[in-house]
Parts: sequence; structure tokens; C-alpha cells
Amino acid sequence: MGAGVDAYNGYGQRGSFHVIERQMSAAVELFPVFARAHLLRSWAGTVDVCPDASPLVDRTPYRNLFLNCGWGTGGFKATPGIGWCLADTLANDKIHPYLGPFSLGRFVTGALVDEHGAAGVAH
Amino acid sequence: MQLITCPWCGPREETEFRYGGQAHVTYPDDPAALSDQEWAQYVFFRDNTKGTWAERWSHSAGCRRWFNAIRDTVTYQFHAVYRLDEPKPVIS
Repeated sequence: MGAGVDAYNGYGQRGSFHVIERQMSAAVELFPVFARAHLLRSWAGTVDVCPDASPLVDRTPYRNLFLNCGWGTGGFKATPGIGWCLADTLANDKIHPYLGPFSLGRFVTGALVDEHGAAGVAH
Repeated sequence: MQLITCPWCGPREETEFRYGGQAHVTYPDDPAALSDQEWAQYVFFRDNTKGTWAERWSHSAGCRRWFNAIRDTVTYQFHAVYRLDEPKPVIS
């Protein structure tokens, strides 16, 4: 069974019980035989999400400290690409063009990358 | 499922509620005087507390009223709920 992102701040690092409960009840409704199944595992962890649900990849005001976070809405498929872009950024000490939209400064300029729902997941 | 106590309706399931983020973020006294950086701070930047803090909730599928809560972000335990016109309770 999967789980969604909690809609509230949390460091519980446990599954979302309200999501699991609803998913289990839907599964049992569809397949009553599942009522005899034991739930062995569910997802748990911390999901880092920006206000616009897009990642944050940028240098920081601190020398040699870079950010690559906020991938909580779908980082799996982007991992190889962003690794390449970040490596290019570190090697040349220049922000890779692809990373421009994902800067810290977008919250000041207002140029948000509003990707809520783009990954097709209920975040 | 966790129960959250609405100050008006009593304990209800958490799926009836909508989250409103950090509480007691005051609107700027002179909005026109703010720089872009200061607006960004007001609109987007919040404390990131691991532990007890104050936050806003709305009983969106119930009475639809907003209230504040003191909650632990690690255990998810609610230490207090209080109306918007009530002062922030002191939690030891």
C-alpha cells in the first residue's frame, strides 16, 4: 500500500495512517478477501516539498554550499538528469542553464514553477 | 486515524481538517513599503520546527471555521487548540 504526503508539517517519518486506512477500506470494499490479509509494510519517511512543489537546486549565500532538495513530488525519474546538471554546476562554478528556474530567488521574483499535480500523484 | 479536536465541534477525524501552516504570522504594518525580499519572507518563508509549535487549522469538512493549535511535529500530538481571538497558550 502506498501513502500520500501529509498535508501538514511533520517529522514523524511514518506512514500516513489516514491514507492507509482509506486505501485499505477501498481495497476491502473492492476485494472482500483482502480483509484477511496482513499489512506488512507501508511507506514512511520525510518528504521535502517547496511551496510550489518544484525542486530547489541552487547555490546558497554560503561558499561551497549547494542545495539539491525539494524533490518530494517526483524526484525518482529526474535523479540522473539533475545529478548531471549539478555536477556541471560544481565543476564549472556556474549554474547550469537547466537549473535557472529552480533557484532560491524564484520566491523573491515570483517566477514560481507551479508543478502541483504535474507528476500525477496526489500531493 | 488521528482525531483533531475542533474548538466548536469536538474530536473529529483528521481528514475533515485542512492545514493552514504556521500561526501568528502577522500581516505587514505597511505593505507598500516592503521590498520583494521582505514580501518573499512574509509569503513563503516559515519556521521549520521539529517539536512543538503553533499552527492554523480549518475544520473544512465540518463547521469550516479556523482555529489555532499547538502541535508536536514529531509525535503529532496536539497539546492545545484555541480560537483565533484567544492568546497562544503557554505549553510547558
